[in-house]
Amino acid sequence: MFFTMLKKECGQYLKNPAYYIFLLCMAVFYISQMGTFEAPLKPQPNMEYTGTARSSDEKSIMENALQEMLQDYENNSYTTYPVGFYKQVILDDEEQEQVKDCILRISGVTEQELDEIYKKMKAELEEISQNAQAQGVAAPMPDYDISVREDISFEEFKEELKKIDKLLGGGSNYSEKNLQFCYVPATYEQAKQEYDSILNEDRVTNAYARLFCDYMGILLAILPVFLAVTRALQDRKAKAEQVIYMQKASSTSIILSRFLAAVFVTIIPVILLSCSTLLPAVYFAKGMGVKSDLLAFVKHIGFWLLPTVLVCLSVGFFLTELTDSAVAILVQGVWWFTSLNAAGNLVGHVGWNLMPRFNAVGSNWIYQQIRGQLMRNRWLYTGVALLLVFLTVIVFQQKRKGVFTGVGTMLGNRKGKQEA
Amino acid sequence: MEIWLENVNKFYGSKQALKEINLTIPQGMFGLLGRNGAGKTTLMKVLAALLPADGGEIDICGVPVGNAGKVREMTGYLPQDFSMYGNMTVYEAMDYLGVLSGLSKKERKERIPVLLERVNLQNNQRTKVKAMSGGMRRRLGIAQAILHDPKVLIVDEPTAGLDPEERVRFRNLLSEIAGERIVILSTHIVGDIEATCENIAIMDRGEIVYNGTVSELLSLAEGNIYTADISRMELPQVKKQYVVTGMLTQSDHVTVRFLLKNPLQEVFAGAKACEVNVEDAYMYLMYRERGDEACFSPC
Repeated sequence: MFFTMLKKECGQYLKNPAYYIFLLCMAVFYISQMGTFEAPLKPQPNMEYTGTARSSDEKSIMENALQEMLQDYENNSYTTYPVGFYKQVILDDEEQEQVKDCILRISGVTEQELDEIYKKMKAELEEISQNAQAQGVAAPMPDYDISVREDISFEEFKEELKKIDKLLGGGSNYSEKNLQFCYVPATYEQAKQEYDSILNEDRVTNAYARLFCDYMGILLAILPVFLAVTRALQDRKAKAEQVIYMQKASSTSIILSRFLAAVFVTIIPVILLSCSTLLPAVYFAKGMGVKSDLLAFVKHIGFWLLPTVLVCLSVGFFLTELTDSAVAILVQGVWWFTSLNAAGNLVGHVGWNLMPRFNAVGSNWIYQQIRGQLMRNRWLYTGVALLLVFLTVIVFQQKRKGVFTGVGTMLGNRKGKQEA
Repeated sequence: MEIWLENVNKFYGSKQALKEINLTIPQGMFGLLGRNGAGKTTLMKVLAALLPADGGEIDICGVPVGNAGKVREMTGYLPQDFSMYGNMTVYEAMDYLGVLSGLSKKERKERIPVLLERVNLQNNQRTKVKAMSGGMRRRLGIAQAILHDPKVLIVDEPTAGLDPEERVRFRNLLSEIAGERIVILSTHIVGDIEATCENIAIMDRGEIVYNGTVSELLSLAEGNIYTADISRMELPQVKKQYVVTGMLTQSDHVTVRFLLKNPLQEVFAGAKACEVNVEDAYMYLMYRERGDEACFSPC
């Protein structure tokens, strides 16, 4: 009988227009963030560019940031992630002047010297481009002929860049949290090791599954709450509360069937969506003679994304049953926003964050370091979700008996006046 | 098979909604009459285990009302403002509630068409709930309430807002359903009780002020109800002296129906004692209980 209830509840979600908005949001987000499948490039010993390796060397961080700033300034195009999402910032003349002043201060060059550096770069690029065309290979981007001042401390450097980050509205590559490490050109050995790790340790699909979970985790930490709230408010909205309360089915069956149906209709489209990354990854692995892990996405969705979905839905059901209002959306929204901005770095930030971040293909060595914490994190949220579902059953049961009428109703003391 | 209540009380904060209710409800149709706010809905909800009583004992066909699970199994309930999810069709709504009632697929498949035919909704199986009229929704409400074949059917204000034709149809439907069940019909419309119930209780301010048969209620008021043709000029005086329960204005004169404020009160010349109807008897009872206040309250 419970299975029949579950089926009926799934049907209820499928009739809910909010569900189709949810699906649309998920598809749009997936396409915009994951994009098309990009296979990892096999490093070649004779290639100048062989990928990057992470470095926390302060000098490297400063040089890297200066190079990036010069390029951003020249293009007047700054990449920021103010709330975790990509944003391109274009500055006006006055603001560009401030960036230029910052470059001059941290490099110690004069304005004329800076103009010369840009001219030199332009000439270099033209030459490289012509050579690359003649050889039929991609042209690597050279570095600007500039360095940070010898006497500048890392603290002073960070203070200077903090001002630029503020000018850009925060979340830029010049923010303090993004200056903890940098990526430096990897040696061929390092790049080869990373590439081999994707093929052999991650069996390709696991590397992409982590990136998939990183992106979809952001969405699944907020959107399911809308499904839970609309379903939990549906009885009241339809004036069907008392009729539902009078049925023989236990409160546990009613709440659990609604909850599990919500989990089901949320997770199934995620699994289907993952196929569009899984299939090319499997195809690529086959081409490389690697036996890919076909269940990589399902496994990652199960242990990584499912707890996020569970907790998001359980917050929705619990607070809606408790208050008979949509306050859960606000609560989950605040939680989501805080978690999103709490990520110190985008690859391997876990802690107790609702959304563990792993915005990279590969980096298996980082993943191995955070795996234990990731498991603890996911178990915690699964536990929180189960507790909230249990509390929802209790609240529903008490409402059914007329013992509890919802926090909102009790505060308003309206029920008493209406009943008699 | 009966329902009995002993010294049942219910409070909403400091307000007492039910006061020492003692009642026995036998098999068949049972009417619960009272003005709006008399406590009928509260009593219905207490009987349906949707509200806990604050004292007293309630037994539903041998099951204490505290055993909510058992009570739900044997009770069908049609609330005052019944509705279901608007996006469901009539059949889907019945099927959904059937699942929640624990009916198997076979039982649902057998019973739903029969019940929809009984409430004359057989041609509306695919009609969305949101597209149904008030009368159709009430009929769907009755069908869902008896879907699991309950021993007890509690129907709260089922005819409020229905047009006269729907109301008559609905009353007849309830009478047909009663059969081997206990059907408790709560209403503030005297006509509903008059047409369907023999056993009734009248509630006022949370108390049972009458419990008995309709004929006993009528006999209470016998000899106290009069009718007379008077001029329009005399109407204010008559209204002042008696409790007017009805008047029919015809050009220059008015036919009034009134009850005596006390059995010893003198009747003016031209007034004749008349046959008592339930409305008269109800007004008589309310006047006896509440005095002049009763005359100004709608019922």
